[in-house]
Amino acid sequence: MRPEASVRPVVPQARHFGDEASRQDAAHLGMWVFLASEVMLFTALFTAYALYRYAYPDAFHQGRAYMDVGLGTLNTYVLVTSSILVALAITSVRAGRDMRAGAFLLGAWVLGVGFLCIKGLEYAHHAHDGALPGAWYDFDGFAVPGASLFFTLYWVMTGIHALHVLVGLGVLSTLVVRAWAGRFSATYHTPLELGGMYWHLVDIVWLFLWPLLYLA
Amino acid sequence: MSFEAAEPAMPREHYLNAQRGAWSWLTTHDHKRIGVMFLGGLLCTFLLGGVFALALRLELLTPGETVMGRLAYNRSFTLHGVIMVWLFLIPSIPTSFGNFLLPLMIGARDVAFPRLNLASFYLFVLGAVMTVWAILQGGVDTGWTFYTPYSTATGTDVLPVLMGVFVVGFSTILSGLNFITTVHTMRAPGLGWMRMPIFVWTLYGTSIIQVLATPVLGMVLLLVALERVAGVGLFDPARGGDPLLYQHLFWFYSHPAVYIMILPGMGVISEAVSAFCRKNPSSYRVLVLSTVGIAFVGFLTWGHHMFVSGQSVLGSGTFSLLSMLVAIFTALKIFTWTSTMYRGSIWMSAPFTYVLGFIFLLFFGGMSGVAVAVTSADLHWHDTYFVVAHFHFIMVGASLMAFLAALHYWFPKMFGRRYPEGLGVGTAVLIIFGFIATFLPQFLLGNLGMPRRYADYPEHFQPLHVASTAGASLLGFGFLIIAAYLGWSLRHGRVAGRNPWGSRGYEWHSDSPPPESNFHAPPDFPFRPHDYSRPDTQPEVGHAA
Amino acid sequence: MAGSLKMLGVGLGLLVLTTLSFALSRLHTGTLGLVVALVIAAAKVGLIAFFFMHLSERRGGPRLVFATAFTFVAILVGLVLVEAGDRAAPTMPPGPFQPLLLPGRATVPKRAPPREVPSEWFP
Repeated sequence: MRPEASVRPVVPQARHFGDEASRQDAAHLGMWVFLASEVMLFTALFTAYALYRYAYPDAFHQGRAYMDVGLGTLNTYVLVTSSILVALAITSVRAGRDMRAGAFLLGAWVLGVGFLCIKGLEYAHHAHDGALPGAWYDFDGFAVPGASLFFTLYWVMTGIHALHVLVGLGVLSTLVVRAWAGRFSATYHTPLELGGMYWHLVDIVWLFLWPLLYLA
Repeated sequence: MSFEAAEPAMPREHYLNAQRGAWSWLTTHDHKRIGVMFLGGLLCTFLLGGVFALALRLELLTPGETVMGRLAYNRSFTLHGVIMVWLFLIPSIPTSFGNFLLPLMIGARDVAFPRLNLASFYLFVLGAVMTVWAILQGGVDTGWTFYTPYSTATGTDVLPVLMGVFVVGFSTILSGLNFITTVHTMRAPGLGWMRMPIFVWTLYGTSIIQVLATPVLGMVLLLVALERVAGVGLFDPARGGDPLLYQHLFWFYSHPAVYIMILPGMGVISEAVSAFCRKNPSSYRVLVLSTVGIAFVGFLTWGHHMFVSGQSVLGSGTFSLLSMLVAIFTALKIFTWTSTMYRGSIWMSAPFTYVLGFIFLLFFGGMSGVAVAVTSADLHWHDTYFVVAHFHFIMVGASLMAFLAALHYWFPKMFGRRYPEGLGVGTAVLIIFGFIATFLPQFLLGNLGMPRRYADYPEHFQPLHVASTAGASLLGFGFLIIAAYLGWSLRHGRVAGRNPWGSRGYEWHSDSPPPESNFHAPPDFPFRPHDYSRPDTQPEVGHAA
Repeated sequence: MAGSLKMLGVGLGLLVLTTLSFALSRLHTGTLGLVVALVIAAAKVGLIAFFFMHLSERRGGPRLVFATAFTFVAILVGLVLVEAGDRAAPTMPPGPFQPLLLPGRATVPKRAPPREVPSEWFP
């Protein structure tokens, strides 16, 4: 039996749980279910990508020649590194080093901001070319059927992903503040774990976006 | 002692009077109060959707434009669909009875995330308000399915409705999340998965569908909104887009959505059949496996809505076969219920009358579903009243009957009072016959070729339309009578006592109405749910007056 | 400390896989390249889920949720592609005619005029 199974829930708002083990199980399972719903949200877009890639194989294959592959790859390294920092934050707080955890989270936050800046730079490049989404597409250099759909998907998928990065930045900054205010300890750091999982999801989605839009 | 020796008494303190004042309701974390608030909201949205339905039937009484013009008619059927699907049927049983009963049925003190539960309620209210706002703006004329390219091009203001549905979808996802987590982590000690009440299993299956399917709807509606507002379109054929993609994404959600609407109802029927036949379910395992089967296979069938949209032959054939497969699970349930009733000790109460209506109408509705699943037949029936009749048989004939069964079965549990039983049974019969009068003619109309969503029709269809409208008025009267006697019973009904039905369901172990913390002592359920094979003893577990 | 080292190890693995994916993409191998890239991505996701998201510590529920989510991704994408794969060529985008509208800002998307509210019949 796990040691938490005989302990009362450690936070006052969780009195409806019988014990700490149930509280933690519920918190983690709930977060996983939420992440599953987020995965399905992006799946709709991946489906659109799959269908249009199937319908316009050449246009989609050529599309990457007009993308900033360098910046996209840099962004991948940025997000992966930020995920590493978040993972280190969790191990720190589990060892009781909550100040260090906050520092790691701050690092991840900075990298997240960096991600958005690089994304913004990419968007500026595409806008300059006229490769805008939907009805605004005006890129003469790439005007075959399917080209505008490629870029529309690019903008929509990375845009919604960027929105999630923004939300993730909000989550991380809240966690930094609370960590440095001493709200977390080795016995209680559930918000940190759950917030970290959200950030990892943001990374996971990007890890699929990157090959589909930039590499192949 | 096997009977109540004295007059049943209302418990002194229970969840309704534990705290007083509107603010205590608006900020409650108690799943029972949230369930009651949802119930109130649902009755309002049902009324609104019903008003649109009656308007439609009134217009269809005669051919030609009589009470409203064509644009108003298009808006009416769109809003009828939007409100009934998203603001009534999808939340109906899970948010009201599910919220109230799930913790009671597994011996928990509340759901896993009570504050999230309250947030779900407020999101529902917000989504409903946004939809009402859309109605006041003049409404939408796209049909509840918002097919592109019409929905991206129409001059009616689609955006508020899209946003309203998006918000309600969020409410649904959070509710589903809550229930899944609750079932996994908050069962009482000794309550294994195969000892849970069937209603809990169906809520669990429904919640899984909600969590996995609704986000896809959210995204596709967002894409339509983006196209309308910003010209950022993925479905516009003029720019190389594919309208069928919209339909794939929309129906990937909307077909499992109909299982969200029916599965909890099936759970209610399982509970009520055992309670009112005083018999264990013929096969608990079959009921569980068919629940999981419906939840999973229901995701594989969406293409049957697209047989005439230009879908490929392979696609149509695959979806046709899978659609017929999913009917098998429903059939298994119907066989189990009927064999449970065989040689049971039947109590013809109002809930049981609704149960009988449910089974009878689900049978026909389900069979008509298998019929339209046949691609070649559906070419004739698609977009006719045949399909309209099919889904109303399931949604009203089955799902709504289950809602009414739940309302009557658990009314004493929730409010501690009984309603007049004779009136309950009589109104149930009225509603069942009213329903048949409304929708049976529609099967005939559809087969004869009457298209759906048309305000005008050739003269020779009129008799059937008149019959259908007459039935609709009977239905309407029935609902009003129910509202009247249930409203009256809230204050003046006979006090019910803890377990007026003598049911062996777990939820009857606590008081009626239950105390705020659900159980006075940690509950222990030493026997299976629906276990009528034990000798008749009063269940004392978890209950101290 | 051991925990941190494990995380750093997994992180190093992720960075290596990222570099590998980028390097392989420079080979320009067409469809196979896409498949390889997605396989590497899946491996990275597995590492993140199991170690960073602590799926290795939690038995039962979370693993079922994780597996279910990806099953349904496969169902949606798979069935749509199965359907599209068999579609008659004129019914696949861009349709049976030459796209008259090459993508460009010159043409405005068609939109119906706003409907008057209320209509002449709307009660």
